[in-house]
Amino acid sequence: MKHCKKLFVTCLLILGSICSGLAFAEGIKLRQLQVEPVEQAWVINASYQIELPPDLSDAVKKGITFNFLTEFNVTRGRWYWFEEKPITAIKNIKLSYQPLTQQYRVNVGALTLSANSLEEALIQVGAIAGWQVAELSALDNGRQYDAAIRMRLDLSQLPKPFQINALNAREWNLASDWHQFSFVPRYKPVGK
Amino acid sequence: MNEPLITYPDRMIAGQYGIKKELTAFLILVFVLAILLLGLLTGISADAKFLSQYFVWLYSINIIVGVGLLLVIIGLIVTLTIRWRQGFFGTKLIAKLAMIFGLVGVLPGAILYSVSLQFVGRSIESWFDVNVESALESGLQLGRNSFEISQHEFLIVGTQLATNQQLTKIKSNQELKDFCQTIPTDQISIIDESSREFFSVSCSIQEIQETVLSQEQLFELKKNNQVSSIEEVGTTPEAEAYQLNAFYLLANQRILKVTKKLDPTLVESAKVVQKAYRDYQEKSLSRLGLKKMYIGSLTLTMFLALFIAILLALILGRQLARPLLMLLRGTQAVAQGDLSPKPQMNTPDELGLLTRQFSNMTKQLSDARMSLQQSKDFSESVLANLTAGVCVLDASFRLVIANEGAKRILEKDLNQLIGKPLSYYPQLLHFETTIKDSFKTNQVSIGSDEQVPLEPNKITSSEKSWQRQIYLYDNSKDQDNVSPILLARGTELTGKQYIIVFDDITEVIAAQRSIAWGEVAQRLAHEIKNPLTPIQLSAERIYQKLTGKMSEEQEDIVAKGTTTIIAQVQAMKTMVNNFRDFGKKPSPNMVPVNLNTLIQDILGLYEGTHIELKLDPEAPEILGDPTQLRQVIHNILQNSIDAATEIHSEPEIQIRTETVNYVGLVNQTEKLIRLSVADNGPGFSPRILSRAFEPYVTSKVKGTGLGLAVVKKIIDEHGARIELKNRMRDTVIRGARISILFERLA
Repeated sequence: MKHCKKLFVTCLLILGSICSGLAFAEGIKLRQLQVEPVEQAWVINASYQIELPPDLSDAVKKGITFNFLTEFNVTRGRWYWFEEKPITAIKNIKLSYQPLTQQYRVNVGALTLSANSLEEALIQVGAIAGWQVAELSALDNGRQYDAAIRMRLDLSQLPKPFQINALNAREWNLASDWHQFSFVPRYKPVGK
Repeated sequence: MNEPLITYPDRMIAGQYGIKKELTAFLILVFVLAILLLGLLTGISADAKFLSQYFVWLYSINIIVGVGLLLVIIGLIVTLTIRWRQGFFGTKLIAKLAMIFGLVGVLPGAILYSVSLQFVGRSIESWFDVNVESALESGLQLGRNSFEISQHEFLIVGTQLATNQQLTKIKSNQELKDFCQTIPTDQISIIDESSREFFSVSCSIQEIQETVLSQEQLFELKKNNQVSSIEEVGTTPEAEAYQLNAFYLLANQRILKVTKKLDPTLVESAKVVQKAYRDYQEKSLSRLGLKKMYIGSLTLTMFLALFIAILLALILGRQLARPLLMLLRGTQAVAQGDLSPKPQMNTPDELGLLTRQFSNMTKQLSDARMSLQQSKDFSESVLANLTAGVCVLDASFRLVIANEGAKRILEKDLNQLIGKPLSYYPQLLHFETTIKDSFKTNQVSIGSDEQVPLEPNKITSSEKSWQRQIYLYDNSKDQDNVSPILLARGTELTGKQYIIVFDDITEVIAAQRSIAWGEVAQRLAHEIKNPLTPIQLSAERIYQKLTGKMSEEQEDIVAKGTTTIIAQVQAMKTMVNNFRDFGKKPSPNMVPVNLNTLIQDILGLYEGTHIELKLDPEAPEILGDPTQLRQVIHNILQNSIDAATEIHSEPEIQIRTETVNYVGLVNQTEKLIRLSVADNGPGFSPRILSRAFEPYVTSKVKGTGLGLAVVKKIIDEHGARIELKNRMRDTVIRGARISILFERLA
C-alpha cells in the first residue's frame, strides 16, 4: 500500500449528508463516501446508515433473507455519442437471521460476518470497505467524470408474494437516493 | 326509382361491417386479456422460471388493464346516462336492454366473486395454524436447548483441561498436542486477549474455522474466567455446520481456547427444524401478498366478466334495438310524408322480417303515390293541351283550377285568380253571372221536371250538367266590341264543385253564317231573277206599244218610266247575279299565273290614282285562276281606294309582292308569296275587323258587303290565307293592310 507502486494519491473525500444522532428516519442514508485509487484499483469506502421499518425488521427476524445492492456508476458525457460508462459495479450484501443460534449473518462475497443484534448487522451491511470497482486505467487521468452511488433493497430476490406486496407498499421500496458527484481522477499510472 | 333501392343496402352493409369490426376488436381485446390472466394464474401456481421473471410485470399490467376496463365501463355507462338525459332517440330502449343483459351477466358473476373472495381469504388464513406455529417454535426451541446443553457440557469438559497447571508452561505445539487425549475436542489453542495465537493444534481431521474473541465474550471471560460460544461455519447465508468454542482464562493471563464441531446428526435435525420454521414464517409473512395476488386475479377476472357482460349488453342491446329504431324512424318519416325507400335488415329473424315488410309497405305506398302522381300529371297535361277551356269552381264560385285553354279563351292570367271569384276581373263579370244563372236555372228546372225535392244530393249526374251558348262579354253596351261566342258546358261535381268546359265557337258560327248566306243568296237570286225578265219584257213592250199613240208629253213620261224600270231591273239582275256568283262555287281553273304581270295589268284601269308598286321580280309564278285573282285584286284595290279617299284627297296605296322563305315541318325550306295592299284610310273598326269576310258586313255607305266575302271565298279555294290588319303607329290607326299568302306555287 505504501511502497513499490507508489501512487500519488489524491483522495476524494465526499461526505454525504452527515446525519448525526437525530437521523432516526427509516431508510438508507449515505453517511460517508470515499473513492480512492488503491494500488491498481479504484476502491470505494462508504458508510450507509440503514434503518429498517418495523415490517421489514419483522420480516428479517422471521428469517427472510434480504439482499442489499450497492450500485456504482461512473459516466462521462460525450458530445458526439451516448455517454461513456467506464465503471458499472454492483455489490450484493446478504442479510439473514439464524433462528437456531439467534444470530444475524451478513454475507459479503466470500466473507461472512455474524452479529448478535439487527442493529449491529445493519451497521455491518452499511459499512462498505475496500470495494474494488475497477482497474485504475478505466478512468483517464485528469478528465472530469460524473459518478453516482446508491444502496437499495433488492426486491426481485424476495419471494414472489413479497414482491406483489411491495408493489403498492412504500415501506418495502427501501433505497437511498442516488448520490451524484463529479470528480477528476488524479493518480500516478502503474509502472512509471 | 330504383337508385335509392340500390344505395340503401350499401349503407346497411357498411353498418353491419362497422358492428363486425367493433366485435372483432372486442374479441381480440378479450383474448389478450385472457392470455394475460392465464399467465398470471399459472405464475402463481407453477414456478415457471420465465414467468417468474416477468411475474411482477404481468401483475402490474393486469392491474392497469383492470383499471382500464373499469374506466371503459364507467365511460359507457356515463355516455348512456347523458344520452338518456338528453332524450337521445332510442337510448331508453338500448339502456333497458343493456341493463337486462348486464344484470344477467353481472349478478351471477358478482355472487361467484364474493364467494370466491371469501373462500380465498379463509383458505389462505387456514394454512396458518397456531398449533403448527407453536410446534415449529417449540421444535426450534428444542434445537436451541440441545445446542445450549452441548455448549454447557463442552464448557464443563473443557474446565478439566483449563485447571491443568501444565498448560501455563507449554512451550511448543507439540507439548500442546499431548492434551488432545484428555478431552474430546477438535482443536486446542492458546491465545491472548486480542485473539493472537501462541500455540494451536488440531486434534482431529475436522476443519475448524478461525474464531475471534468478541468484546462481550472477553468481558464475560474476565468476569467468570470462562466463556463459551456456538458459531456457525460456512460462507453461505445458511449455516453449514456449527462449532462450539470454549474460552478459559489461564493463570498467566493467556486464554485457552478449545473448539469442537457439533454432532452432525443433531445439526441436521436442527437445520431441518430451522428451515421449516423459516419457510413457515416466510409464508406467514407473505400471506398479505398472497391474498393480494389471488384477490387481484379474482377481481381482474371479475372485471373482465363484467366488462364482457356490459359490453355485450351494450352491443347486443344496440343490435336488438337497431331494427326497432329503424322501424320507428321509418314510421316517423312516413308520417311526415317521406316515402323514400327505408333501410332494411337482412337478418333471417322476425325483426329482420318486420323491417323488410315495413320497407315493402313503404315502397308500395310510394309506388301507389307515384302512379297517382303520374296519372294526375297525365290528366293535367291532357287538360292543359285541350283547346277547350276548363275551369273548376268551388261552391261559392271561386276558381279552383283553370287550364291553359281557359286562359287563352278568356284572355286572362287565371293563375292569379285561383281562390278568387271570376269577377275579380271586371270583364269577366258577365261571364260569371251567366254561369251562375245557368247552374241555378239548371237545378230549378231539373227539380220541377223530375218532381223530386230540390236537394242537391238527389240530383243524379246526368241531371247536373247544362250546355249553352254564351257571350263572353256583355254585347248590349258596346256594339263595336264584338264578344267571342262560347259554347259552355257546366257540370256540378260531387262535393259542391262546378266544372265548366267552354270553347270559342266564334269562327264556327262565322262559317255557319257564311254557308247560310250562300244558300240564302242562291235562293234569293233564283226567286228574284225569275220575275225580273217578265218585268223587263213588259216594260219594253209597254214602251213599244205606247210609242206614237200618246201625246208627246205622255210619251216622255212612259219613255222615262220604262227606261227606269228596265235600268233598275238590269241593276237588280246584276245584283242578283252577284248573289248567285257568291252562292255557287265556280271551280277555279288553275294555271300558272305571274302575280306581278297580273297586278300591272290591273293597274292600267287605275291610272288616275297614285299607287306605289313594290314588286319582287324574282317572285315565282303561282297556281291560280287568273280571272278570279283579277277579281280579288280588283276588289281589294277598290276597297282601299274607297277607304283612302274617305279621308284623303290624295289616297296613297301600296301594292307589294315578296317571296317568303319558310322552314317546313320536315326541315325543307319552302317558298311562299305574300301579296299585300296597304292604304292610308281610316282602317277597320274592331267590329268589322272580326267579321269583315262575312257577307253584308261593310263599312261603306253604298257597298253590298259582298266584296271581301267573295275575296275570302276565292282565296280559300286557292288554298291561300288572307289576313286583315290595321296599320298602327303607336295607338293611332294609320290605315289598313290586307295580306294574302299564296302557298301553292307553279
